[in-house]
Amino acid sequence: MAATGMNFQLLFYFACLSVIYALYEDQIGKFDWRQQYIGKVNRLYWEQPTSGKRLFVSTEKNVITSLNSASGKIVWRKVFEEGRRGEVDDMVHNGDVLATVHAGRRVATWHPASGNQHWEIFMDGDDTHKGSVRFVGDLVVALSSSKVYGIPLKVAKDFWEVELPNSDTVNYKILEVYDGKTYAVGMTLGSEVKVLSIGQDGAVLSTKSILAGFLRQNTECRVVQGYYLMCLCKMTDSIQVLNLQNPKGFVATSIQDLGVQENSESIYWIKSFNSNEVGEIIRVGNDMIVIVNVGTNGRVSLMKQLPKSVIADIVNYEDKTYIVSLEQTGHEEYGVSLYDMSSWEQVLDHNHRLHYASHHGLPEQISCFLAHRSGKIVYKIVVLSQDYSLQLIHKTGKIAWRRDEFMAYPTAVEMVDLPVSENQAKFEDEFGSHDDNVMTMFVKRVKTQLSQLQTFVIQQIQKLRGVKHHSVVIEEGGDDDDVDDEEDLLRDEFSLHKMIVMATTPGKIVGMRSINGHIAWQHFVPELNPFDRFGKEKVILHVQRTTAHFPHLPQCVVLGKNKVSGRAHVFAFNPINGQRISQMPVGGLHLPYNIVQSFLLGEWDKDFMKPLILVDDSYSVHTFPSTAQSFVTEQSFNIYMYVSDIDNGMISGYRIIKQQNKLVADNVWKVNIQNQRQNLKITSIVAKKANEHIHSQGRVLGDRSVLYKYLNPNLIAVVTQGEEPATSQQKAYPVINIYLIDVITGHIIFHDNHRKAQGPVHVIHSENWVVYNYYNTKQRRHEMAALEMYEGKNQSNSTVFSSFTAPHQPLVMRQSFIFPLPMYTMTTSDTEKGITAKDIIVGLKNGGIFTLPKAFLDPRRPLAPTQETQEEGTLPYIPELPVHTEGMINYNQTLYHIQGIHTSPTGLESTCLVLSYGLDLFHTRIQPSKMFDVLKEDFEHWLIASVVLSMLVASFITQKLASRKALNRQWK
Amino acid sequence: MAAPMKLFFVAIFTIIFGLTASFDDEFEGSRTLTLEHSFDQGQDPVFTKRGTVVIRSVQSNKATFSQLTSLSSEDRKLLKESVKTDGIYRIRIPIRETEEGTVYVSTFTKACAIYESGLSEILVISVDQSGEVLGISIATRYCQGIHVPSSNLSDWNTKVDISVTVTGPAPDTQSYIEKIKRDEQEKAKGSQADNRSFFSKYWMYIVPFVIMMFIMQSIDPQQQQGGGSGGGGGR
Repeated sequence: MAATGMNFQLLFYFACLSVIYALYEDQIGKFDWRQQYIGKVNRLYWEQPTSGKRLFVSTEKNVITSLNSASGKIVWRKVFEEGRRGEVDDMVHNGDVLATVHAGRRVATWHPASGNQHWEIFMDGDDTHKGSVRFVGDLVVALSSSKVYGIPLKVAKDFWEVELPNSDTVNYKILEVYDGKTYAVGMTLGSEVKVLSIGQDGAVLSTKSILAGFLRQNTECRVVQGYYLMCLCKMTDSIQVLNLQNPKGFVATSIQDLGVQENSESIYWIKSFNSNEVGEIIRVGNDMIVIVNVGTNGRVSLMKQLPKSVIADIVNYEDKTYIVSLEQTGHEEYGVSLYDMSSWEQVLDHNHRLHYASHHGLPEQISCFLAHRSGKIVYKIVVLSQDYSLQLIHKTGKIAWRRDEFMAYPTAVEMVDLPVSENQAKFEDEFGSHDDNVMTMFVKRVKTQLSQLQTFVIQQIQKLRGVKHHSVVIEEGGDDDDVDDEEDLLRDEFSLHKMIVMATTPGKIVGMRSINGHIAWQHFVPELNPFDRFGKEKVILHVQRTTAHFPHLPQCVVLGKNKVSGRAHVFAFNPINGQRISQMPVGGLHLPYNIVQSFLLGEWDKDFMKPLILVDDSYSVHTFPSTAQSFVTEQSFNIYMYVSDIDNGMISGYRIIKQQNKLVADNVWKVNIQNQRQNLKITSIVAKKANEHIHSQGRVLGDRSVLYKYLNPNLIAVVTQGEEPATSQQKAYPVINIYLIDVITGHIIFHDNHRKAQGPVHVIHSENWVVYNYYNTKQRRHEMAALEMYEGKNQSNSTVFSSFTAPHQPLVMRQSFIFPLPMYTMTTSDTEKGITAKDIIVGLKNGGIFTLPKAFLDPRRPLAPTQETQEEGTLPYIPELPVHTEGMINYNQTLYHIQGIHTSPTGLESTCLVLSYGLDLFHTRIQPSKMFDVLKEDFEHWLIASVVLSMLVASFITQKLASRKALNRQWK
Repeated sequence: MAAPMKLFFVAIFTIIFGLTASFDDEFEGSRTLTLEHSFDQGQDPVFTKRGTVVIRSVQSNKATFSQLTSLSSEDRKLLKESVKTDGIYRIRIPIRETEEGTVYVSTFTKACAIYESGLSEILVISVDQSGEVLGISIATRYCQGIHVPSSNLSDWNTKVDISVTVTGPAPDTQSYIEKIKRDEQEKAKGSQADNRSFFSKYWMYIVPFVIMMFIMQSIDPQQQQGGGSGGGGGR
């Protein structure tokens, strides 16, 4: 018995080994790629004092990093945890040290060359307060919500702290250093400003309160020219200035007094990466950029008006001050100007023009670095654009590099097959039509074959020419990295090369080649804002028509919220080349209603287009394109949908009916998953993938009988989370509920709950199973539960599934396992026909992507294996799920802040494409059941062919010989 | 050995506490629910009372339906009409009162399914562990387009099923640890029994082998001779 136990264990480990997918060392990067991003830049410093070879940057994505200013590549990158706790509130650089403050409480200093941390200390205060940090002498001064700290640069010891007065009511927002003194500025809305000045030894030199009745929520203040506090007051259209060195009172200057000619009803700051002591750039009205400065009397005066400028910055260089400005000179073209501020003369000797693609939106912020080279002033300008991209312009107005930082903000991802070549499509068209007679079919055949011949000849000629062309490119130095992108966007043999369509937070929609991650096209829709779905930013992206319907072009649609009105905003485009469809405005289509639900109809119309159905808040039904209304009306008898009320825990089902020539949603069922005592909130709703293929209808058991799967396509998994209140015997504890609901009839198939468990709950819903992950607060561990639904040994209806007649209580098997690592997200693999075994793909918090065969999460794993279970192939039950390093498909390529993982089938049944997105992008292929449908690379074709051939020859010869022998025998 | 022991006890306590925790607030009392129905097809259907559902026990799935009256002739007409237009039949249960009005759970089925089954159906009422009604659904039969005489359409033949929230699965560490212990014990037993010497364990293989060798050696010279003579015979 012991021996058999051993055997089982061995068998089990072999089973594990056999399903592991691993790479050889030389395969690294062959099937996968990773792109590292940093997020939208909010602070930027050039390496001090002179070289400017590196940039030090902090971003909105909780990252501080150093970029090589020649290539834009990351030198080092520090990624902090997600959410408020990792946010970089402020960062300063003084040549030797970078100092940061995180989440209002944590001050740290870093070595700029290596990114190593010197020290880190915690401050007292509230972590919702945005902290601030500065240098003074050899101290780092930092501001928390209640104190100012002065910490020596070298070691975080013997530091001083100053308690801020009334810190519970006064919001201390600004910390500034001038002339060895530290000023902390606190504000109370509608009443006053408090200014504290602190010496280098930590002594409070003065505390003053100044009346400031104009302060509102939207009043933006900053310190200009070192020691003036300047506030832009939107209500009175004025600029309020306070001298921090000698705070007596605010001096107001109205915008009209500035003498700007334009209609000047509103003023905005232009964000600047650096401070200077000369003047300040502000934007008046919509498109007028002016430079102002504050006189000794506190009055603001106009220094210069830059009427053509789009964006400008002030830069100090060799005791002089310059203004760098980008001016629009044509379509997608900007000119660079550099003015000496003392003489207002253009410094650059000739016109510098640069190509600035309109899909970046407007430039939002620039920073300039100047240097002398052979007697001339040369510049490097970093431009941050509306689409979050960062680019560097140098010397003559060329773009040295560009970082597409919008890629760190994905809100929806889809993978689309590339189209077949036109010839191939025609060829398929020939078999596609049935109403042709023999003659026309024959003519068609000849035509297609002729055109095939023609393209073949053309290709051969191009190949011959192409060799020459290629050599020329190499001589030029090949500064264009898009050489390989000139390849046609055509489907490969196994459709391994796909187009990744991605929508992002700033409104950028991108098409990427899955093979190398290069951007094929991009489109900027600045008005498209994402929806908030369970606290995550999401837009809705659907493929309305795939590439399979030549000559109809493929079509994708993106649905989001309008930035201004909050109503629906759609944008439809061709996913292969990024061109918007005809009648689609450049900035997308703004629809005049709010959306409560939208979905893609499962049926396509006569043009193979699946209409997008939109339901507004008055429950009228609209379609996109609007021409599909009649088709939807025809189909309306079997269109059902559901809407969930997250906070009240109600889910309502609707059917679509026609009423006075309008389609409206009619409420047909309601489910109440609220328990008022526990205050449940719906935290996620997961439906199955719409295009999922399931190969096998049942599972063959050990005794050769079949257990039929319960395959209900209308099933959703709903998760609610709440808290059981404390009673006299027990403390309060969190609860999780899972409901499986048929969304046609509102029938709750199954519902279970977990006490003392909390989220985030990650759910995978596929085929006849649901797998979810939660945190067990009692055992303090992450657990994964698997539910599998079966109809039983008899199948109710093998051809069509109808929710009205389905078995109402299927068999639900369930089991739970310990998953030893915390995770960001998880999903399942997806293949062409669903024959391949499924893998669970988990994005781990340690930066790995881990694949776990679904067989490990089988609720039918027996505790004591028997002959029968062995025959069936279920693994014996072990409570802990194994985490092998071989299962990490991203090997050592750590990924940060994984938001989601997208899987897509390929033409090969064994292979599934995986894209992980978040701060970093990672793409690879997986083969959950190994490559059963492809011959190995080292398969010896020649050997097999020669053996077969020689066998043939041998049989032929022996046959001859045999017949001769038989003949000879006859003659005897 | 001490560590698994400890684990084992921890597991046992977990189970015991888990069990007591899961029993303490489960709902067992009876509850009466009003069932309303409607044959209306429009957006704002009017519901009328159909009867009451009495839940006697949630855990043991005991519930009954009693109708208020049998189906009136007008309702029968409405039902037949909605069958003709492939309409729906709706039911609902009020579950609580709020400031905004009564909250209902509701469901529907095809009118033809109710008609063809002759008003026989199974109602599934989903209830959570504290007795709160989550949802309701109807299970009937296929629509085949058969005609049902009016006499079969007067009284409801309703069965009520209660589906209660189950406790979710938890990792079964206890049984696994038990299993491992059992295996270990068996192993220990096995090794105890087997501490005989190598020879005493395998004498039954060794002795025949030795005997064989002995015999082989003794008959070898004869064989060689035989071989030689055989060769000679061939010539």
